[in-house]
Amino acid sequence: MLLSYRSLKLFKYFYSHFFALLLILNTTSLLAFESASWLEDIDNLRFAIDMSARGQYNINSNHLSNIDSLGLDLHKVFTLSDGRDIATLVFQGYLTKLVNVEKYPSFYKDKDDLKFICRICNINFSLLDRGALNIRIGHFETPFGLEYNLDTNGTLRQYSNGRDLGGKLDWGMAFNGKASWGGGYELAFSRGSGVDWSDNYSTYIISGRVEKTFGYSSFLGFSTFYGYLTMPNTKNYIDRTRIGLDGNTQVGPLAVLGEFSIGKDDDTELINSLFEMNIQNNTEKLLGYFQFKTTSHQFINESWDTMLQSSLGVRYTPDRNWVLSGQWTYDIKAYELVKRASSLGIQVRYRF
Amino acid sequence: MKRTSIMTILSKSSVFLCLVFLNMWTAPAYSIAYCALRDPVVNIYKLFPEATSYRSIVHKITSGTQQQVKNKVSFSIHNNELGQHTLYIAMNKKTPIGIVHSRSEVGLWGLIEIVWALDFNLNIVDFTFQRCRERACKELELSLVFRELIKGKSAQELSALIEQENFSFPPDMADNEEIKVLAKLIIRSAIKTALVTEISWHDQLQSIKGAGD
Repeated sequence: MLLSYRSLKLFKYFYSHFFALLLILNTTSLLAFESASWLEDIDNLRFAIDMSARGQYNINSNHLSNIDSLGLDLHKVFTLSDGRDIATLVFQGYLTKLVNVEKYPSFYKDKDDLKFICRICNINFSLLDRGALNIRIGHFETPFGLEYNLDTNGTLRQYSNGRDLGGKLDWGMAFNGKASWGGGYELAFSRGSGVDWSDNYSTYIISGRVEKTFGYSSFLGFSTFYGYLTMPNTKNYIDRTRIGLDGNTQVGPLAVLGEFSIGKDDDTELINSLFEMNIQNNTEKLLGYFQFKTTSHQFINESWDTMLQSSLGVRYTPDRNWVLSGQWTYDIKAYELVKRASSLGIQVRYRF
Repeated sequence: MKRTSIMTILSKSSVFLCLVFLNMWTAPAYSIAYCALRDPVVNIYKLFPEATSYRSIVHKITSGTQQQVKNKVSFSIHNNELGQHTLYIAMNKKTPIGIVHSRSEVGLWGLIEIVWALDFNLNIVDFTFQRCRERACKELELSLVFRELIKGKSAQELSALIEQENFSFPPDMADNEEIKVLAKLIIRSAIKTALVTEISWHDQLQSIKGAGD
């Protein structure tokens, strides 16, 4: 027998979820777009259908799960009658299906939930000339850390916002702009409700990031965060503060990225860090990366406890439609009394 | 696991895989570029310092555009460059003062994003890089001689320039092979940019020119 029982089970699982889903989504969306070409007639509108099937295998517990999504990605620029652009609308609406996901984010109801998520859905109005001041209103990414420049929504590769701040997205308003000397900023006031709007109006987040770019490929950013938030699945409130530093530089085919933050969740002290080195070929079709993450906390009157995690990943973009990714995540050291975990993830993504 | 189960899975997979690949084959007609939709805001004001705002014009670049470019010069745009792209019109108050368009080229260490400034006759005004990992990019951008070489030239003039058998690089570039390779890449990018702009945005540019006259 060439194939073991476990590998056949894995194959059967991924086959049934990935290929069947891709086929159905691909066919239905193509048919849908045959009759939806009117979108192309709207001025200054760029759009894409985005389909993704992501499988996760927890090696320690022999547990399989997957997250599939079908989304519409829109980018529309509004222009005044005098010819100037006045606002940019971004809408990323995704129908997302969980299948057997044990550690699901708190905005899902259960491990097999089906939910519509408005990922980044906001409009950014231009207030001052030369891009000096704009105001963004809607659902956006909290301006903090590497995620601000490198959008990882819906991908296996992730930076620190989720594990450090408790979420990436929030509803609110943000002032943002660019300066001719290579500077940029965003200052956000948001509801602290995360993905959902929520009827709890007592939570909030104030966050901000300033950055300076160097040359064509490097930047350094400084971020701050304060949130009065509810803990997931409880009615307990928490004061969360962070300050962070992030940066990116590139040498030949290599890129080095890092982010570091310190702060508090009430009286618990926290330190988070992430280091990534990646390499790509000159057509950028193939990217390999290694990430090393640390998460340390110190409860009041206790000693520091640290978790060390590594990820090794690859992303292959054969053409402008397909993205195939794989990632192995391994806990080098878990928190005390917690078992180390190791997992494999693969993702097939198709945009058109 | 029984042999029949393996055969069932494999036969079902082959049917599904065939259908998936069939879909892949039929899909490109509806595809758009998978790009980051990055607005080159800072670069618009760098290339046109007197600009106070800008206007975006989105247009779809098709295989027809690709063929038209090929009919005019010995090379064309890559398949990955097809799809919806944005042309920016730099404005001073209500007056259009120039065109900004960015295109990507494959460099030594990754894609090079070149941001081009053109006048309304589609002659090169200036350029800068939005993204480049090569040291030669900085040297080339700072080279006044290279800028003078391409400034004010149309796609036809630039095409004639690089197709000259005795094309000679300016003295400060002549001994640097990396810069020479990059310089030719940049000139080809300028030619493609001017031609693609002329083919794809012709009507909109005529109406902007007409309003300005």
